[in-house]
Amino acid sequence: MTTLGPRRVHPAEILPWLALAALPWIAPDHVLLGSQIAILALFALSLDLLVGHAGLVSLGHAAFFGLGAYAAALLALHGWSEPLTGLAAGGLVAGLAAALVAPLVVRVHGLAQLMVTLGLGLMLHEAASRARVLTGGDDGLSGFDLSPVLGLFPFDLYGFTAYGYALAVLAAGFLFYTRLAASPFGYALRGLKQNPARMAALGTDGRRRLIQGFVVAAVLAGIAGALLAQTTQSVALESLSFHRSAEVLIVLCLGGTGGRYGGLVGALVYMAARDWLSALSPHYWTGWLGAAMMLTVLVVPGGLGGVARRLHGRLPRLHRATGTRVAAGGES
Amino acid sequence: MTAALASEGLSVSFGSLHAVSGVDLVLPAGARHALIGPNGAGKTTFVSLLTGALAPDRGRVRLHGEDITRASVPARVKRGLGRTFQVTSLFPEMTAFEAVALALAERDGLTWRCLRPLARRGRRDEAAEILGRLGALPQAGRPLGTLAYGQQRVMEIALALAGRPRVLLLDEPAAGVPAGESTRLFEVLETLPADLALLFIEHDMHLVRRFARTVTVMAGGAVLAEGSPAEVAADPAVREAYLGRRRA
Repeated sequence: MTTLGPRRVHPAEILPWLALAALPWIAPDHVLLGSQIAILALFALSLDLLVGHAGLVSLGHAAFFGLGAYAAALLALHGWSEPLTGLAAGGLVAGLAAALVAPLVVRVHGLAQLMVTLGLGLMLHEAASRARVLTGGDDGLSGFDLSPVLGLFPFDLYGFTAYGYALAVLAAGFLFYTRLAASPFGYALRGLKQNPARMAALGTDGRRRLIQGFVVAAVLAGIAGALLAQTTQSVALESLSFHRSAEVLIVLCLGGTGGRYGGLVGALVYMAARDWLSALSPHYWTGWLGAAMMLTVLVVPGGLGGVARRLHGRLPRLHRATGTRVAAGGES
Repeated sequence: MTAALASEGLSVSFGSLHAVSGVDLVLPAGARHALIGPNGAGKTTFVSLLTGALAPDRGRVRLHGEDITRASVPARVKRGLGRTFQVTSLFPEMTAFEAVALALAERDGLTWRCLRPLARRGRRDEAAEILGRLGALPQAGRPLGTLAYGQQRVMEIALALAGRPRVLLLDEPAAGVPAGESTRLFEVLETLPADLALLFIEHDMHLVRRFARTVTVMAGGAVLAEGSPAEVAADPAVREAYLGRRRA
């Protein structure tokens, strides 16, 4: 009788994924860029759980990305080279850290929340920079090897396995995100964003749900970080820097929040633009990138993913409008 | 028999203003009780004390004999105390169907589930049943933010009912609803389970006479009179403070 839940997955949505899967054959020179895009997209998806669903803001989300990256790298350096358990460890460490700080983060709102997350991120960055024994300080960690993925696909010099691996993990994260968005938990998070007082009147312990949402987002960010460490076989301090927190927020604004393609579209456009502009104008490319970003948010406030959604949503919207008239007519 | 909901000497002040002072109210199971009074009488503040949105300075609230004075809003809801808001307060981007299904999931304590769909069959049927009972099924697929005001008032009640409350507090359920529809709204409320205790704030005396079995009149934060609609209407103090002024 009626659709319930965020727009169902349309069969045609397999097409962009097929295109991504075909990248090594279409443009083998771009698989490294492709891996970076997949990792950034996963990271952006995790931030979208906070920003687009729970209505939380964060300028320190890279803390969890970096924790996941260091956890996976340290595990590999100490001889545990199986990639999937390394990913899980990255997610676990990030999730545990998030569980510690989440009560503090969800206590405050808006600007204060930005400051708390920013502060936590800066503190972690500083701590990692000092703890040279563990993190390698400014030199980071490198020189670790990973076993073949699933025991079948060894990592190669060209980055084909790395790309396939990153894409598969992104797809898994994407499916998880999609299911979560349609679940009672996803609705509860959006309910808390739209009207926390009403959620309390439904009996929801809002604080608890937000803490859970924060932890889930951190686990996903940790997995993205672990993925970066594994596919590049190195970790730099930059992985938990303020710059990375800001970058993923930009990516999400570009792609649009609250929709499952926002992170993917944002990461694709951002990385492609960065790649293209830096080749075009090696000295001034960040300036051009800034201009392109401003133009995007001014011209398409809902983000590029929102445009795609509107195009995709045209037909159902017309149906809805017709339904409205019928309902109104029926009542009068 | 223990009352479904009872307040004992409930009081709260804001600075020097005694918004609610020493209010005793007993709501037995199956009550159809109206709370009336002129603007500023403290009715909504009193309801906020009952729901836990405000903490009292003095007094107690008991739900089925259990002291819930210190319980949080969600904890009271879980114990069976539902409410609607005076100013419509919904989820603007969710459809009517989704919002009711969310309320059902919360009632069943399942909003931690992140892999199963909200729209499971049992929940879907129950949401449709609630919307159907309130005549809101035609709006099921529309975002709540796009509904007409009267329809949003109906959705307030739908969301409260989804929690399967044993006590339901309705803060001006028919406020802003056209006259014909408000009668229909109350007729819907009449069909609610007989053992549900209903307390509603209402300004329309015709509706109060027709649907309330007992009435409490508040003025200046205190109880002025209590009794059947006829008794209350005949009370000189009430006529003075409320009805008289309204009719003047």
